Amino acid sequence: MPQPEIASQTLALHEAKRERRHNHIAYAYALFAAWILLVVAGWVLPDRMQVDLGSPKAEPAWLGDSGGDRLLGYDRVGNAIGPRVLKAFTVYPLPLILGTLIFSIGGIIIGILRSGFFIKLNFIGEMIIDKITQIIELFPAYIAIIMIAWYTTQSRFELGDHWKNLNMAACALAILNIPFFAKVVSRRVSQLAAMDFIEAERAMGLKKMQILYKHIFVPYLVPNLILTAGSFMMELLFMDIGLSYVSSQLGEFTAFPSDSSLGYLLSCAYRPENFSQFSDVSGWVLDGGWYFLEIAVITSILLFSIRWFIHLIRTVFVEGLTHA
Amino acid sequence: MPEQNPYFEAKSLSAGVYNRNRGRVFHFFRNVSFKIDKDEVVGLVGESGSGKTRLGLSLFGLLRDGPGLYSGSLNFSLSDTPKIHFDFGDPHSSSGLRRGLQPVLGRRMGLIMQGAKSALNPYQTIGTQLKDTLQLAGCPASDLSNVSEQLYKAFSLSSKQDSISNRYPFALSGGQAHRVMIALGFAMGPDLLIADEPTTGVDSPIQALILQHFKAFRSGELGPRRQEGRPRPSMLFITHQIDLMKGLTDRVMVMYCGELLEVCKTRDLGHLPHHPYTERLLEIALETGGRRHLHSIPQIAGRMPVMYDPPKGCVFADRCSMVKEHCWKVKPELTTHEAGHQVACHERGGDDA
Repeated sequence: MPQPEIASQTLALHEAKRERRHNHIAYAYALFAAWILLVVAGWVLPDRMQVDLGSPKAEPAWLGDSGGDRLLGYDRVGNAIGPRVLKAFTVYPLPLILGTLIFSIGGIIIGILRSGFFIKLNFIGEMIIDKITQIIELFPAYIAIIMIAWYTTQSRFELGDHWKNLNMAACALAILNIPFFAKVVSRRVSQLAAMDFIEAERAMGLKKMQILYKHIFVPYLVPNLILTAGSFMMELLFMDIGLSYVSSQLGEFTAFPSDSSLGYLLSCAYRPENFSQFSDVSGWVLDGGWYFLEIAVITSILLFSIRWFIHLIRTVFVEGLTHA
Repeated sequence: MPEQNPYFEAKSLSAGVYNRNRGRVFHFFRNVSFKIDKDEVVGLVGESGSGKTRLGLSLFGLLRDGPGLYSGSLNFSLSDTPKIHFDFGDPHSSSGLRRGLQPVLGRRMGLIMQGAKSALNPYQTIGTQLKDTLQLAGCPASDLSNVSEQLYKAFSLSSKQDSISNRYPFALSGGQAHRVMIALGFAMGPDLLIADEPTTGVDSPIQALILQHFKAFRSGELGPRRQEGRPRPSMLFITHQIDLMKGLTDRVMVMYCGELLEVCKTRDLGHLPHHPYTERLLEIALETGGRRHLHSIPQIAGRMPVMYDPPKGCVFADRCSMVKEHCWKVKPELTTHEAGHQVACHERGGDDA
């Protein structure tokens, strides 16, 4: 009989899809847990990982004085690269949180104001907000340069303080992200505010703030916020790698030299004198391995940023929480 | 006497939106005056596009586009609450009305919206939405599950095998969503309930069931327990099926092109010299119910006037079989013909009939 067959096939397809989705969720949770562990490990370890740049072959205390060779070898002053790569990734959570807070708060305030959910702006008000956001969107690089240039004139600016300057750069990047997120918020809020179920909630006597939080922000804007935070992380990585690579090429007294910056590590890769530091253990890295590292970093960032990372975050936070 | 103490009263209420491109106002409804007394069910009937839903939404301050209500006044005198009065003189935003009604919305006034599927939150389960509504209406936590179960059972929404409470709105059929929406309206236990086409889009048995539930809700058998001394709920029942009025409503208001054409007691329907439009509605309801062939179902010839340019005379003139010369020129006012019967027609009990 055809009908039960079709029904069973549909059921099987549905089951397979569900199973696939659960597998995705499991992988995503595992990767997310690994990332958290990596960051936590980095936070626990940094004090012990400090090494004296002046004394070659100095190793982090937690590695012990084994005298052996490390994965990825040593840099030109003899510091182990492997632990530094690990440490390099641990500097990002705080700028990420700081930047996310800035662009989310700014974007939500401007977006809700523009959507007319609370206050109906007049023509001039709408025009002012639109023009400011358009200017930021049209000339992001100029705005960033202005902000960074202003920061360098401040007394708290310090050359070589990578962590502090990275946080400042994250703030500048977050400000550039505000118009984008404000547009997302504005579009979503004005779209939802006209929907019947929101009207029904209003008729039930819910206040606008309650509606905004319970029926708009949590179900609709939080996933957008997480996705934007994910892409912000990628922008942050690109920016840090780019700036620290460029500044490490310029000289010692630059804004972004660091013993644990990814860009600095990358610049080390191009120095021929580093090759002599490699041992047999990291011989595979020596045979063009530094280029492999560079390609691997860029490829993984590209992959993460474009498709996979978005999928990961969506799976963990949206589907994972919904179907948990 | 209920006449001395109306729950709700609207006087000369008009609403519309200004179209900037055309430079004219699109009227939702014009000069609508009516009242709903304590313990009274009023039916509002009319064809699609006559402004019934807009009128219902405007009472909650939910007209979202344009100036909304621009003239007339509203009086709310719900029991145990201070009187609320709004006067719309100049162009006025309906947000002020919503702010003023905030204390009574949900607890004292409830709305059953048209389009059940879109009026349910797609991100919450039915159980969550029902419990939230009950809590909002002040239902004690101990009664939550009892009242929910009672509503599920009454609306045939749960059985031993399956419960609807864990489902999301997309997993409901159209009829189920409709019943859930009505259950949510009842769950609020309001003193004044406005039901916007609660029987549209459901089959006949469900329609009968819904009407029974409305009666049960009115008598206090369904929904949360009402406090001692609180009167039975009043309702404004909006529909386009005039045959549903009998047995449920006390009075009927007939609306056409944003104007009230007739107000009468439900028991007098069919026994009075009605407005020609009401007569046609009654005929159609009678003959459609008699299962005649589809091609022989009567229709009202012509179309409703565009609300940008309402006619100077009677709004029904171009579709009326009894139209006379002066119907095109002079607008008939809603005047009392007999006790409790008002008609806006020159030929049927109008002021100059």
